[in-house]
Amino acid sequence: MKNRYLPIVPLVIAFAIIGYLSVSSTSYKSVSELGAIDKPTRVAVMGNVSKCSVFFKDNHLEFVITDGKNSVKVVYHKYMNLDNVSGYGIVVVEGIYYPDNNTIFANSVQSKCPSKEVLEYREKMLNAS
Amino acid sequence: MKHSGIYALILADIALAVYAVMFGYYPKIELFDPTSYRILYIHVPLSWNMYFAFTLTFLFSLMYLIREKEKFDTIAFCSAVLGLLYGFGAIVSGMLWANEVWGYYWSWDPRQTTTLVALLSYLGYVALRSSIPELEKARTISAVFGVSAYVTIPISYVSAVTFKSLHTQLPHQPLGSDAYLLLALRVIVSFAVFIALLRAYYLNVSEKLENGRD
Repeated sequence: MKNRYLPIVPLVIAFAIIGYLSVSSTSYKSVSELGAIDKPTRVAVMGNVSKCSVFFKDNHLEFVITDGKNSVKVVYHKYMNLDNVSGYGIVVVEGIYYPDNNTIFANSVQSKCPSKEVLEYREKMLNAS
Repeated sequence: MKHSGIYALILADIALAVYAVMFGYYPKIELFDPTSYRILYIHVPLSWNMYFAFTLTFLFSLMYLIREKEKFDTIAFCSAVLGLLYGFGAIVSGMLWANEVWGYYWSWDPRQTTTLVALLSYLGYVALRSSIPELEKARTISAVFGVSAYVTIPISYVSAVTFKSLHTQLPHQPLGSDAYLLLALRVIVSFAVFIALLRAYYLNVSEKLENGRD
């Protein structure tokens, strides 16, 4: 009797795998690439935290990230330590981009350690500026 | 007087909902009209009750298929009907919020689409059951449907995370403890209303079935 419902199990597993692949395949955009977006869109963006742009108020964190050419404001739902001084604190922000306000409502903010990818990105930013 | 307890609960639920919409906390974010956040106090309890209702339909349909007790089938049916009502409310309140935040009432967002598919599935469950005149057959067939339609529920629930939906999750909202407290209260009271409605509807349907048998 129980075996009749077993097909549900592979269905759920297949769904979980598709979901995981969907999430894990997210590719980073640069801040400048956001300019091509004309309606609220889910994005993952890598950028430098602008100097002295970080502040926390009314249960949310606000800061600005830049790629040296363009910048975008980020609203995040909780406090986290960010480099507010150097101008080269690299973060990856994932959330909803609102083009009308040039703001990302972030679901997650990851402060990147200086991996090879981040070092290359920092080098590119320094060259650009 | 028979249903005075339910009426009192419904009144309390409505009063709390009105209070939350009028005076509930909202984060001061300069992104869209921040007062629209207050629809959260309506949308979240409706959505969670919908998920709970369809989960009950799944469980009691499964139990009917295993044990073949009539009351399991009746509970599954009543829960599906209530789930549809709550789901309709969740969709409408979600659309109002979407219009404010995304700029569209309906944008075929993964969460909107998968929830609509779930509601249509359970609408099919109710329609199918009503279309079969033979009660025993209707019970068995709708129980199988009640189990299989449940696959739409986890898909709807996780669609906001897995399919790059614009729908943000509750933990990602910049709400303080006051907001969470009020929301928790709304969820608890609306859940109590759901249970009371389910019980009343179950008794009503059972009575009609008994009378039909006599």
